[in-house]
Amino acid sequence: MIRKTRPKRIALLSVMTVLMGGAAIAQSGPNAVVDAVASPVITQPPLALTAVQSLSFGTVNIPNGTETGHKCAYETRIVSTVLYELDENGSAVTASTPNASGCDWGNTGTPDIQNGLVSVVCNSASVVDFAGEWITGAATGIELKRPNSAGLRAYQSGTETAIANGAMNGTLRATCPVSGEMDIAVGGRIEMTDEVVASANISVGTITLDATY
Amino acid sequence: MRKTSLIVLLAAGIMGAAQAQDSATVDALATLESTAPPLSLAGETALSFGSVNIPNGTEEGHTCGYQVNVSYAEPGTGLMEYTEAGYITDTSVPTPSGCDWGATGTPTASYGSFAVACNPASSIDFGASWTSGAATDVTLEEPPSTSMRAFQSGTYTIISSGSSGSMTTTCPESGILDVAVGGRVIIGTGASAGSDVTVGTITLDASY
Repeated sequence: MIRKTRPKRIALLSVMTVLMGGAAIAQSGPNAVVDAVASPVITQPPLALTAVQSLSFGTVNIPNGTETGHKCAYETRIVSTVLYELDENGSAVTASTPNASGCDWGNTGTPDIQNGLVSVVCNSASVVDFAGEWITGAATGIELKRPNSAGLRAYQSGTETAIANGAMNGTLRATCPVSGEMDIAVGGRIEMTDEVVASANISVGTITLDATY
Repeated sequence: MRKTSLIVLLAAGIMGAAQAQDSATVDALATLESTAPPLSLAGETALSFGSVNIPNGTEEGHTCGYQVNVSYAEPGTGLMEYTEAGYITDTSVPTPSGCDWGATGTPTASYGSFAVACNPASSIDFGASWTSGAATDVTLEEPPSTSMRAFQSGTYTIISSGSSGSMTTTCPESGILDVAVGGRVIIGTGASAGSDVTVGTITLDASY
C-alpha cells in the first residue's frame, strides 16, 4: 500500500510544477517606454585679443661706425635681455660690453625695456595656439625680428605667474585659465646699422599676434 | 486462580468488538480557480537631462557627456568631456569644450519613471534598454553604476537598485511600485540646439 501511494504524490507534484511554469511564462513580457529628452545649448567660445602696451627697447646705441658693416642687435626675451655686435655677415662678434661698435643699452648700459603685452579673453580650459609675426617698420637701417629665444609668454591675467612659454619659431600654446583671461607678453629683436637716425621712441615695426583654438 | 480468570474474560470481550467492524468513505472536494498575478507597467515621466551645452568645437572631435544616476529624490549627476578617441579627458568645469549644464551650470535633470502594478511578495525581474533617438550627433546610453531603482510607490523609499540593465525586486504589499531610470547622453559638435529634444527612449521589461 505504501509503495502505491508515493508514486501518485510525485505525479501530482509534477503536474503542479508544469502549471506554475506555464503561468510564469504567460506573465512575462510587460513593458513600457519613456522618452529621454535634453535641451542642447550652443555656446560660443570667446576668443578676443586686445593690445595693451607696446614693446619698447628703451634707449639703444646706434653702431658707431668704427667697424664697417657691423650692426648692433638688441633682444628682449620677456624675462631677460641680451645685446650683440654683429659682423657684416650677421654673425655675433660679441655679446659683451664694451664692444668695438659701441653697442649698448644707451649711456647707462642698463636695459630699460618693456615687453609688448596683449590681453586675451578665452574659453577656460581650452588650448589656445598663438603665432606671432614680427614685421619691420619704415625706419631706415632697423630690422625688427623674432628673438632667437622665446618671443612669447603667457601669464595669468594681471600677474607675473607664467602659464606657458613660447617656442623658438614664434608660436605659443597655452591652456586658458579658469578665469578665462590671460596676458601674452611679447619680446623682440632689433638689428640696426650705422645708417639709423637717432630719435626718441621711433617705431621700429609691429608684432601681430594670432590666436586660434 | 481468580486473577487469571479475569484476564481471560477481558480478552474475550475485545475479540467480540472486532467482529462488529464497518467503514465508510466521503469525498474531498475543492473548486479550483486559476489566478493571473498582475504585472503591468506604465511609462510615467520622461528622463530629462535639462539644458546641456553642445561642445564648443575648440577641441576637435571632443564630445560632452551628461550622466544621470538614480539616487533619492535628487538625481546623481556628472559630466565629462571625451576625446576624439572616446577617453574621458575632464570631469569638472570648466572643460576645454565648455561642457556644462547650460548657462547656469546647475543640473536640472529628472528621472524617467514607470509605475508598476505587481503581485505582492513576488520577485520581479526588470530589464531596461537605452536606445538613441534620431537627433544628430547625440547618443543615449545606460549610465555606469546605479541606472535604475525601485521605490515604494509615490515615495523615494528604496526597494532595490539595479545596474547593467537589470534589477530584481520584491513587489511590496501595496502591489504597486515605481521604477526610476537614469541615463547618459553624449553630445557632439554636430548636435542642434533645441528645447526638450528627444534624444532616445528607455524601454523597461518586467517578468516574474
